[in-house]
Amino acid sequence: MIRRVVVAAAAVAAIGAVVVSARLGGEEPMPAAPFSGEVTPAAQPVACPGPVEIPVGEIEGGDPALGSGSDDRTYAGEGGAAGTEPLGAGFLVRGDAGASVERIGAGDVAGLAAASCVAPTRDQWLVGGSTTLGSSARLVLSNPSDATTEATVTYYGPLGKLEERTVATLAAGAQREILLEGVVPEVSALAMRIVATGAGVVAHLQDSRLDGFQAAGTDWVGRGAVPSTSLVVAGVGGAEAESTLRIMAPEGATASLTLTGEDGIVEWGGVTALSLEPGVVTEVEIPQVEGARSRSAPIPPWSPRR
Amino acid sequence: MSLARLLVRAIVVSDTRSERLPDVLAAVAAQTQRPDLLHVVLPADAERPRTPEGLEIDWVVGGRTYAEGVDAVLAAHPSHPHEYVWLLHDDSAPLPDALARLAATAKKRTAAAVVAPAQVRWDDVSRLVGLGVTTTVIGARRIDLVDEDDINQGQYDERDDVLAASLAAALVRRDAWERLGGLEPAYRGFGDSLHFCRLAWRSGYDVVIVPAAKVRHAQESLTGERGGALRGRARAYGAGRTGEWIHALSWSPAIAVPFLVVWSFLSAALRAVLRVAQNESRMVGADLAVPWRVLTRLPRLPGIRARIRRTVTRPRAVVRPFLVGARAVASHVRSREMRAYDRWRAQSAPSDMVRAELAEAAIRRRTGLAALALAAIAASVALHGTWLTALGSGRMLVGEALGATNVSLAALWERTWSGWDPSGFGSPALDGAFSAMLLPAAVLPGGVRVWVGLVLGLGVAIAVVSAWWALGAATRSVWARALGALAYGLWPLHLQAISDGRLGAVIAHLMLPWFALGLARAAGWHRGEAVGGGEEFPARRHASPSAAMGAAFSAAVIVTAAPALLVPLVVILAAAGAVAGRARWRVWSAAVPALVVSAPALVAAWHAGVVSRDAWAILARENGPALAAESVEPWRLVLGLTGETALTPGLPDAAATLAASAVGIGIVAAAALAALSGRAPWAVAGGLLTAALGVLAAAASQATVVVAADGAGQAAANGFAGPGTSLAAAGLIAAAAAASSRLWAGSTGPRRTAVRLVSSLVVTAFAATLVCVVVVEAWPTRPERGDVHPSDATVLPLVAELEQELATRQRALVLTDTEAGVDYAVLERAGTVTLTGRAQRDAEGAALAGSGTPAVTPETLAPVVATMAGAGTGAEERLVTWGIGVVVAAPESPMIAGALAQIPGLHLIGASEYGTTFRVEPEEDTVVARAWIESSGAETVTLESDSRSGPTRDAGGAGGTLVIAAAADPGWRATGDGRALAAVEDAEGRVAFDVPAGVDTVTYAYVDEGYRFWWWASAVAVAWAMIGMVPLHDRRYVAVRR
Repeated sequence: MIRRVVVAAAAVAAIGAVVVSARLGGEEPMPAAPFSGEVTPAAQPVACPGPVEIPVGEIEGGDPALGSGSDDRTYAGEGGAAGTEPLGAGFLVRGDAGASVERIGAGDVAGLAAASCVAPTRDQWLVGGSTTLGSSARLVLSNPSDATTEATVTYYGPLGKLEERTVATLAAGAQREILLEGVVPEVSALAMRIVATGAGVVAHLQDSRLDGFQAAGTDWVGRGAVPSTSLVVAGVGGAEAESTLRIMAPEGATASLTLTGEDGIVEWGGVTALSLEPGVVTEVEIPQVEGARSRSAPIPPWSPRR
Repeated sequence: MSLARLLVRAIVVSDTRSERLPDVLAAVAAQTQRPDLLHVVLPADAERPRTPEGLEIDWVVGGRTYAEGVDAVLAAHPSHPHEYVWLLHDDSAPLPDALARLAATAKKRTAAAVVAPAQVRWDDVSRLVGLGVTTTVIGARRIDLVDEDDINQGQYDERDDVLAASLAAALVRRDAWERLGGLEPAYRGFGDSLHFCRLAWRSGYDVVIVPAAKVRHAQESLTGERGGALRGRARAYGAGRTGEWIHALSWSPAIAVPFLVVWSFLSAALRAVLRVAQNESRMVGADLAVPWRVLTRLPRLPGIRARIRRTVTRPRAVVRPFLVGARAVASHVRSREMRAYDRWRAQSAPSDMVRAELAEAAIRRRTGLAALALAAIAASVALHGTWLTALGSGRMLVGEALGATNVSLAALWERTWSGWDPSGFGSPALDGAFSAMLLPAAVLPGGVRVWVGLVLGLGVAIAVVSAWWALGAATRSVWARALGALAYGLWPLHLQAISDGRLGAVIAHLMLPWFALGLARAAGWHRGEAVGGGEEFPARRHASPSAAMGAAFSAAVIVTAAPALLVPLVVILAAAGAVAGRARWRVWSAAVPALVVSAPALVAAWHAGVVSRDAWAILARENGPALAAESVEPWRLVLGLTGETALTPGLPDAAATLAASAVGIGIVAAAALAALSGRAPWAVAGGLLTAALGVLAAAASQATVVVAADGAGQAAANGFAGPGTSLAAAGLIAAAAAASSRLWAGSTGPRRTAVRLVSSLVVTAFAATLVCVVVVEAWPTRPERGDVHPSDATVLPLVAELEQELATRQRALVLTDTEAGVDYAVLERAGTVTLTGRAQRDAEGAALAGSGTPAVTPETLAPVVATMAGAGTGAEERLVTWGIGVVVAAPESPMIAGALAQIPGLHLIGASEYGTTFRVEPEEDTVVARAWIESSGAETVTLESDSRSGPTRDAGGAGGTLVIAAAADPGWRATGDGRALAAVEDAEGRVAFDVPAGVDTVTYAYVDEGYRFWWWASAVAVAWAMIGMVPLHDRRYVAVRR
């Protein structure tokens, strides 16, 4: 009899324990809060690419007018109060801004070319250049920071993203040039994306055109804005010359173009709505229109332009 | 042959503590040849016993000791020629013809100083107690020349000359007595006969034994029964051993005396260990006290040796033939053991029929064990086979909670010995028990990596086999044991703990069956093997002291691995002891090692308020790997469901839950059946109460936050319900097994058929369920329960590891890119290591063992890490202040690697698949170290370190401040040129001391006296339990002693 009582009491105790322990209030473990703080990264110097180079090199013909080079060269690089330090063929400025201007009187690359010094960055787009017959694109990568960087360049053309890629490793204070007609030849409209590690890289593109034996112009292409859904391009159109807008959407997009002038939107007869394939570089001719000054291109996503 | 008649003077000395004095006097009166004179020496105011008829007694007042009594009588009565003194004890009664035979021999052997009789047992004259004594050549160990309680069949009748004999009821020549000076008082009654007889031999006399003359001797002094005190045996033993050593010291060459004293200490230590193994605790004290008693008597030694020198006439060679060597001692001990074994076997041997049944049962049992072991190992391999092969190929198991498992022996030893936990910036540790528990794994070949991996990988198999052994105490049925063992091994929370890497919960689950087995055997509650006719063999089970020590050791390990089980285990032991009858003190003593090991936590809980949530949080602390887990209702816990019951692909939710809880449902159903059946009520009640305690412990554990986020990489975590549910499952399984005992063979007729049918069905169903559970758990596409997985044994790039191993003991900062930002960890060793145990902190972050103020943790480095992640400069100097010399960007963290590359103070030293490593060097030639001496004028002197101390090194003599990159605590001590250095405040919260100019050498260490005391106490307690666990002399001696 007592044994049954004992077992019953134990069973009651066991069930009671389950019930009582259900009533125990509990604490929850709190995860530790992450620290958020503001950080000022170290300022990197700005860098410029240096003088323009003749794509085919110095070729002496008998006639000075037929030679590719020229003795009439003027080059100036300014760094302001901070002064300039050499960086490969170019220079860097330990300050906020710098620029270089160059004038070449004759030869293949006759013309006026100016470049502004920019700070290195990890991800940039350069829209410009062409590697068809008569055009030369020379990409100059500079690393003004104190750390090694590795830059990867991907190319986009009229047929979309190109298979060739360039990977360049730059030591601290090094500069490297890549002649793109040897990498991606016969691309009429070129856009490239440069992704770098570390502090980033400074990229400039020397775009030189040759019309037979006549120089058709040389200029430096600098970094463009990051792809976005709304971009404003200033200085297009105008009464003096035709402009070409080069537009590319890495992921594909529909773009609508609006030309605005001093007095507001200007009607123009060109294409206003563009359907862009992913990675395809499209060129839009903008005719001479009175009073046109800028162009905006809303709607999704992305395209740097020229 | 002398014709002169002997004069026999009988002297009986009594201290009236024996009740046998009247018997002695009656025996003297009954002698065929009565002594000529009879003196009885009594204390001053003692009552005189009744004088037998015809006896003339001269009552004399005696001194304190036997020798003084004899001397008092002899002083009062001058010597006669041919006088012999018959020395009688008050518990030695001669048989009627004893004196006649003794006197006859004395007449023949005139050169004999001592003529001794054979001593027989008081209550059985056919059994010999003493027939001469000899001793060893070295060390003077006393060897009786006859086995104790040997039956006298006349085998010793030819013996005459012996080295010595007990002087009780021996005839001693008066002139020899006086020439030799009587009994040596330094022996205090134990061993003085041997001394006297040896002195007699060396002085030209003989010692003769007369086997035909018998004296009944009760040996009350030897057995310690004098005065009715039963505990005197230990004291008498101690006195006897001391006497042996005094004998050795007196008779050995003078040059050997110091060696003998040292040897007495060593021998006492060894004997004490042997006593612990034999579980005779009282004798431990007696054995350890012997050398000290010898030391207290050492001043008398020169006097003894002088007396010997004065008295001896013959050289040592006279005595040499009597002395025995080590082989005789060995055979003496061996024959004693064999006798006890024979007696035990005679008492407990089974009859032939029973023996046959036992043999059959043994075969069944061993087959069952083999099959079960195979099944268990198969289950383990099915569940965690990839882990085992990975261990074989040199990889290690890692997990979020487990950390890295390739911990070195040095790390574990430093952690447990010093009481300083070096993780993060270091903090005082509450106790070092967890790392002490893992020390054996580090010592064995393979290291912690292999053994922890095996414990986790084979956790199911080990649990199954352990539960088999434990269930053998509850039931002898092979099927019940096998099913119960498999249910215990496949307990879902155990599987969860293995997958999570919660080593503490796994070890607790593995050790609980051994604790239960030890407890059952300690109280003698275990079942005997079932033999025909409803009986068991052995019919009466004895409580086993070694099992109690086994339970104590298991309890200590369980309490170290899962501290939440301390309170339930202590309650269980208290309750079990209360009903254990004679074994109650043994059962209660099983709680001692567990309590000693948990002492720091108990003290801390006391200070936190005895009954409060904080105190429970300390008691339920997590020593090893911990992980936050969801709280689950208690009824789910009983069924084995956790919050993260993984779904099985292909099964709907309800079915998956059912599959996960199948084992739990089976166990609960079995326990319910057991309770309703009314069989084995006490065992079932005990099991249900244990289950109740387990559920309470489990629910209370998971409701408490036991690990506070400590800024050294550990997230806050609540307790794990696993250990409590292990206890609950163990209780329920034990209840079910106990109730199922003898089920198959019991009952008769149709009831038996029904019972057998039902139990066969139940067994089959349960076995099928278990197989299904294993299949479901091991299903390949099932998501893992936890995150333990094998991984490369290398955690940090080699360059970083090497910097950590250097004498400068730099720390490493590891940065990882995550979606939410940057994770950082300050590492003392390669990988976060939780296996060395946790320095417990309270809710505010203050170390429980420290002074109560929150210590500095790596949380203070967050702004520095943010600056570095943003490529800002100027933050790396703070790394140097905390001894961080290496920064590692984890693999696949390009953003952080790029950011670190831009910082001029960090120099890239290598990039590998394990990460990118940078050295911290803000200025040229900065050496980063754990400890250094800085001063404003002179160069910084870097010092060598390990995790908690630094050896004596040259300080440069310029003075300055000794800075140690560890969290400040009063326990840090530094000495310069032998003198203590004063501690100074440090702005960063580091340990700092002021070094005066001119000091040449400094050394520093973390010292905690309280911790050291606890360490030695728990080491002794656990070692005692381990040695006592050895089943030495257990059953045999207990059986024959009672």
